[in-house]
Amino acid sequence: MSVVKEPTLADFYVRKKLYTGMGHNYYGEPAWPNDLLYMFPVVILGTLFCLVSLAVLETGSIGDASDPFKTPEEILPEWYFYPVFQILRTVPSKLIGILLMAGVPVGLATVPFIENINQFQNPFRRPIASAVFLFGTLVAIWLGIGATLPIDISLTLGLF
Amino acid sequence: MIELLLFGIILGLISCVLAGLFVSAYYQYKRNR
Repeated sequence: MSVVKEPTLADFYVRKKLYTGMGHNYYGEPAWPNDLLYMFPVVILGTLFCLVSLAVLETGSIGDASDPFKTPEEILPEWYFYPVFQILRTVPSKLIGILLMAGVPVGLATVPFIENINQFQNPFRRPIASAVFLFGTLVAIWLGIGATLPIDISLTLGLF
Repeated sequence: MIELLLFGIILGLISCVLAGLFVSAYYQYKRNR
């Protein structure tokens, strides 16, 4: 199953940009110097600026100070595990909870094999994939916020 | 213990990044139609 992705060569502006070495990363725009010289420093400096600003604004206040003689009220994993942690603690059966947790990386691993079913890349030309992506993002945010709340209000987020 | 500033940064970043990607994708979609 091979998919041929043709550039829109009928488009006058695409041809004009490709002719000057600009336009599209897949269809002829060179990485050097366009991206490597002109865009990478922007990203690197932007990241550095954000990190330094955060470190100045929020000096060393990430989480409570540790105390070996006092167990914290709630024990949470690292923040990127919040959604799967919420799955594990709210699903009544721990076996199903572990299977659902394992289903997240397994599901992500299938993406490279099924994403070329639709030859287009623009999200507006692949509505099913876009809908699945947005739904998954919202569910992950919902689960992640719920993981930080007490378990009896964690699924409704205390809103209902 | 949740840091409110970090919480806002994360949620704000997610929404801004998604909005930016979809708006720029919509412009490309409209241009190539």
